[in-house]
Amino acid sequence: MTRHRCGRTTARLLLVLSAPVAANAQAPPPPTRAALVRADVFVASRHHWRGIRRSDGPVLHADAAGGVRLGRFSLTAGGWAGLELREADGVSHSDLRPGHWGLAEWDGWGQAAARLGPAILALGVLRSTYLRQSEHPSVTEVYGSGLIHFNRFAASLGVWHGVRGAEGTYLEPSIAFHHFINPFSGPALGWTTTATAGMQAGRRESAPGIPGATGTGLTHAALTSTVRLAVNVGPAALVFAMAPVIQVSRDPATYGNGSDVRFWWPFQAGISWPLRRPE
Amino acid sequence: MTRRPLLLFLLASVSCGAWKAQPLPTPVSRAVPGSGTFRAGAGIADITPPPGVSLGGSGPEGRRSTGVRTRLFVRALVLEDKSGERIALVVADLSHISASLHRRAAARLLDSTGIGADRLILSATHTHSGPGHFYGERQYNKNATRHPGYDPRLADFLVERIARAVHGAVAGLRPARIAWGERAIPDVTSNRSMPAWCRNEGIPAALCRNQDPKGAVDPSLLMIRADEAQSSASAPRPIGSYSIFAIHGTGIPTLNTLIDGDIQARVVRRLQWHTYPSPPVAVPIHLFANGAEGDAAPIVPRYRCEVPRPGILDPFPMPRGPDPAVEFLEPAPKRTTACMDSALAGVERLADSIARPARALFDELLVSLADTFSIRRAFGTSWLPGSDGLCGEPLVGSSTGAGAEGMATRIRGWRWILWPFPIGLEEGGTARDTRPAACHTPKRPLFGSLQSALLVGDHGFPETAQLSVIRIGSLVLAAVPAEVTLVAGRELRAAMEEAAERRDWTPARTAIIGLANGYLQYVTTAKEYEQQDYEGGSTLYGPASSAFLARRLGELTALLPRNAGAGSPPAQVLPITAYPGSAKAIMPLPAAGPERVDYSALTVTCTPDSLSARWRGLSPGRVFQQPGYVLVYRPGPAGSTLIASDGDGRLELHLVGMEKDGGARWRAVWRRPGLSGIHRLVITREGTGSVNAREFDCR
Repeated sequence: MTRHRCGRTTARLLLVLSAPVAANAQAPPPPTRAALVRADVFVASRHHWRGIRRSDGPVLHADAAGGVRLGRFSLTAGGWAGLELREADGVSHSDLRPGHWGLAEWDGWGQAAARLGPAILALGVLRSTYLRQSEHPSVTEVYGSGLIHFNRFAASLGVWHGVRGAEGTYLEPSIAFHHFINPFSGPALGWTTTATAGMQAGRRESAPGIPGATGTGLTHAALTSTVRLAVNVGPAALVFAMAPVIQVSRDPATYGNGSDVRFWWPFQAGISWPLRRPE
Repeated sequence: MTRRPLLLFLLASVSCGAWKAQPLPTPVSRAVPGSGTFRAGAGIADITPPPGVSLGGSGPEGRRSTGVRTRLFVRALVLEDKSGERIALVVADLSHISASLHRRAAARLLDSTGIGADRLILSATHTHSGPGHFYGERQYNKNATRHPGYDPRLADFLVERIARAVHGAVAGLRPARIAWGERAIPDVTSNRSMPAWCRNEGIPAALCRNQDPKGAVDPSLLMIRADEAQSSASAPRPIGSYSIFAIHGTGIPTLNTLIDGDIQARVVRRLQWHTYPSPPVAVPIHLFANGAEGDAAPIVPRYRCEVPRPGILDPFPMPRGPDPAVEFLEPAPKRTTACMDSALAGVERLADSIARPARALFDELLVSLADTFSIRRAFGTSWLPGSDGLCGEPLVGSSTGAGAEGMATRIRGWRWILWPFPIGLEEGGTARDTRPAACHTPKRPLFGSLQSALLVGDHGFPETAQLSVIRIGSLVLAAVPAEVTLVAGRELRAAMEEAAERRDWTPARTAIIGLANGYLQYVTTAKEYEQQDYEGGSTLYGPASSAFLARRLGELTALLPRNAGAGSPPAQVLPITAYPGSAKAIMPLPAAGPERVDYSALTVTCTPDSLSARWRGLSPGRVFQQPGYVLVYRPGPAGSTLIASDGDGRLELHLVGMEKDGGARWRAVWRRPGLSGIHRLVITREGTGSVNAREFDCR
């Protein structure tokens, strides 16, 4: 029952989001069919996800995806892996058991997406496998996401609904403001501030070792200010980013003491291929 | 460090240093013996660079060129009076003129023509679809286009072609008669900066009340016509003409990626059609210079023209992975096409509106030709930083980053980066900052104190101004290296007229040749400067700039002799140093790619109103040496008639892409509404340059 209600909510939210999209839709690009491929490797100073501290130590995130573009639509599938690069010590947060380091999570996903003028919509399935426990529990979620740009503002909504290994629906609306984007050629230098909120509708009811909100309602709210520098290197882009975050936590999973305010300043560096900055 | 790396390091240091400071030549004109007759000659040279260079004048909106719509030219009209006083009036289809182009071209001309910097009036039409990368000022090489870089080969190419045009004019000097006149051409320009204009004293209040920008411009077109001495009403033998009309070269939107001479090129082409004489008389050459056009915008419709807006660069979203990259994304292709189509039609209409009265004026002047004109000139070089009321440091305001009305940049309106601290990036409003009171107040410098400390550095902007005053009979022209607003132009002219009257002579007419002999960006009046619209923000040396130039032009005018008995005063061609920045190879090499290609893949598509052809051909550097790469003929009983060639405004040549072997894929689009019947497309000079053309019928 909860699941059905959440599914309808998701559909309604996407419908609401798509209404202004249709109004703002630009003329469609010429029909094109092209193969899509992408890979990224990033090292980050720490890992947070849905407001939850996953690792206080350095992590390596790698992903690869491919698919096909049909005009404004795309069908893609990909995988993502998160590795912790420092042994978990049992004191600081870690997805792995104390004394371990290495692969902590791997995900696989498939989705259909559409780019409608200033908006991007996606619907897909995501399966996440966690390696903290010896039995490697996993979660399958269906998700929908939408993002629309109004000049320097961007509004987005992501909805993840657990279908296996977890229940409930997690929603994450956000509003971003682009302070600066390098208007000239050369390195891509951007500065964006994003306000994000996390909400859990229906209890997650997941197995031990699977991260997620423990309660319902607002899980956290965060303000992130990201400075990103990308330099074209051959067919790829070398990316450096720092993103100081201030977060107000409500759900115990997002911080052990319930409501709290925290600040951290993560860094990341990596390479994205073939995401070169256009001329 | 071993010896070899040390040597390389030293060589690199020396070569970098060489680009940092380049002392320019100081060519002072030599006396030329008079022929006892008034003489005139005209010359022309093609300055179209191959696609690949960026289009200058639009800052971050200046895109890399992908082809040509109208070829670019430099045209010269040399006048010489009976006593041998010469002046070379030269107009180039460029966005601006750099003092380094002017000095270096003059140095090339000096020995062979006697024309030095003081007798070379080199000005730009101000097309925003010509190349950048040639400036002697580092900041313009960095920011006049979206793609930074100084290309010494491009600068050399332009210098050589400017000299070639003047050499052609001098070689063609022949007994001549000239006449000048003017005609008002209303409703083709409008004042794009009314709030600033309305701050001036003594302007019609009704225009401001009614917000009538068409009334806040100078509609007069001034023309000098030169004919061979024996020209008559029944048998006209025109040599050419030199017109001055204040209008920005911004009819073509910034979304354009084709090299284009804008409105000025189309006006010249129409004048050319009008006066094309029968052989063997030489083809007359028409020059169309700009005037006090700082705030004069062309009235051209802009339908669905947009600037790039922020969006997600990633081709598809990902549920797990790095944050998406945000970039400026180009407008949808259909919108760009709609914008370009409407603007091109508007530019053609506007060119008609200007060319029609210009042709009538040209015809009128035939009956008043005379050979009694004397030519005198006064020339000076002025140091700018801190001189005579100017600010000690050149700065651009944040309104410069916003772009002018109708020419907005992608960051226009980004006035809040870190609320509540404003940074401008708009016209007026937060671009004004009255604290603290300083020389540039109320200009809010773009990027604040970071501008001079980090972004520009020493010698990034021009530090000298070359000013000329030329007297041709009772007509007095001032060559000003800036974009002067309408009212600032009036102040300059008033200063010249007062100076002449103090010397007991009265000019029949004074006029400003803008964008001449260098480039200082804009010059507004002190009142307009207070508004900090785009033009005020781009006035580099502060609110006293107009008064400074007025004083200097007055001083130069006062040096001119009262009567024809005395010669021109000595010229002050003082040393200037160029700081172009690091060299970068941008213009495609003329010998790049293979010499021959197999272009059997040529396809031609005909529609009722256009012809489109695609083929594989030579590299851009090889095919852009001269015009006439692609030609369209209409066969007739008396032989084929050439009706179009690439770069004539209708036949566009697009570089589609490069091949691995250095060859290129090309596309030609001939826009000709109502196209019907048999036509033949010829691609010339493929291979070795001999007979290697392909012909196609199009029914």
